[in-house]
Amino acid sequence: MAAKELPVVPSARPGTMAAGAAMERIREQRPVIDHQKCNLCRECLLYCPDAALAVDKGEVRVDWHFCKGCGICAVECPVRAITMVAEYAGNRGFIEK
Amino acid sequence: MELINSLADVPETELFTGGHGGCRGCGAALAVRQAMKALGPRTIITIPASCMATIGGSGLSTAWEIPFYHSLFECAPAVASGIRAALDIQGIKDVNVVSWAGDAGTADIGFQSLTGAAERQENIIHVCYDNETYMNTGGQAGSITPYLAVTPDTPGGKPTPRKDMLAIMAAHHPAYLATASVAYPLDLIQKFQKAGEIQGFRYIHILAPCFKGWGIREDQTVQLARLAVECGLWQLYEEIDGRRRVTVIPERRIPVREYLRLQGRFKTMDEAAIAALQAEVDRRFQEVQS
Repeated sequence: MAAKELPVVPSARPGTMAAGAAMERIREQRPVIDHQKCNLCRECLLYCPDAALAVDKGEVRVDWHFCKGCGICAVECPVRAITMVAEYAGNRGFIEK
Repeated sequence: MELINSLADVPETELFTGGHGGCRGCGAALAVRQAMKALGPRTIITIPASCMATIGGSGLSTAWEIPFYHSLFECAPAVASGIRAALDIQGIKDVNVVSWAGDAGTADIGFQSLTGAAERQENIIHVCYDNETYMNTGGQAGSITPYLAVTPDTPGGKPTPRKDMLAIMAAHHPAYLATASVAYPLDLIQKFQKAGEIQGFRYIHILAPCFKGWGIREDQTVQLARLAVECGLWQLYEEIDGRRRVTVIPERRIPVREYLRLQGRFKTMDEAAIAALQAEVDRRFQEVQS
């Protein structure tokens, strides 16, 4: 049998970690974006380690499924449009949608 | 080839998806996200034992949208060489083969296979994401941990200076050699674009801070990576066929003290040691910039 004909057995489907992610459990603070201040410079998009930020319909939006609340976006925003607010998840509180 | 010159031109596709297993503010995940924007979907990546191997997959699920091969600690560049050979036999030309290792997988444990692949001029890209300690096993000191950094096994500060990994790799005469930083994403993306176009052995060394190992806050990852460039300890340049070109000249220069004092790991460093390091940095800065 040629090497080409050997079956390829991937151990996981691509991107399946994204499907199972639920960062609400580990997030202690969350970014709040002031859309008035935001000038869509897109700096925060590449500084997010979790791919949680994206520009959608002319606004930067946070994917709450991915955001771990590290706060890099708030520190790096050149116009200070992002602030971090405390979030209480789990049995101590609730998640505001 | 069109270089990506503005943030608006950066592709939106995420080839390393969110929801990965990295810590909050992970510098390694940040480096991979930025690099994958340039490498594109026709990439095969091999990663030895490191944080990056565990962040990107757990066996049953994976954050990668591209083929990802988890190799043993010693042999990521050797595995990448094998993947390239298999592609060559099948006549597949348009694939980037990347071995992506941490500082241990590059400079210490993985060095034997790295120097082998570099000497054979294998047609692969080797990337070292450098957090300056062995973070996946608890932050032990390695050979490119900085002088006097406190780690679990050097509680009084590391007694020896950091080994010059870039000089070692430059001595292999790679087709392309570059340093990069997660704080300068466009520079990093452009370097990966250039590396993708070049044939032969390519080496890219990325400074990717780890908040836990460095003793900083989670949100300071990018800030510290930038301060490292501004104080001159980490210089951004590229070498094509041995000719060096500085790609980022920091807008402001800061004393190394400002960079060191923000980090918990340099708490044992006294003023005399900082002054000595400052002199060394100034000398090295002149050498690279000239």
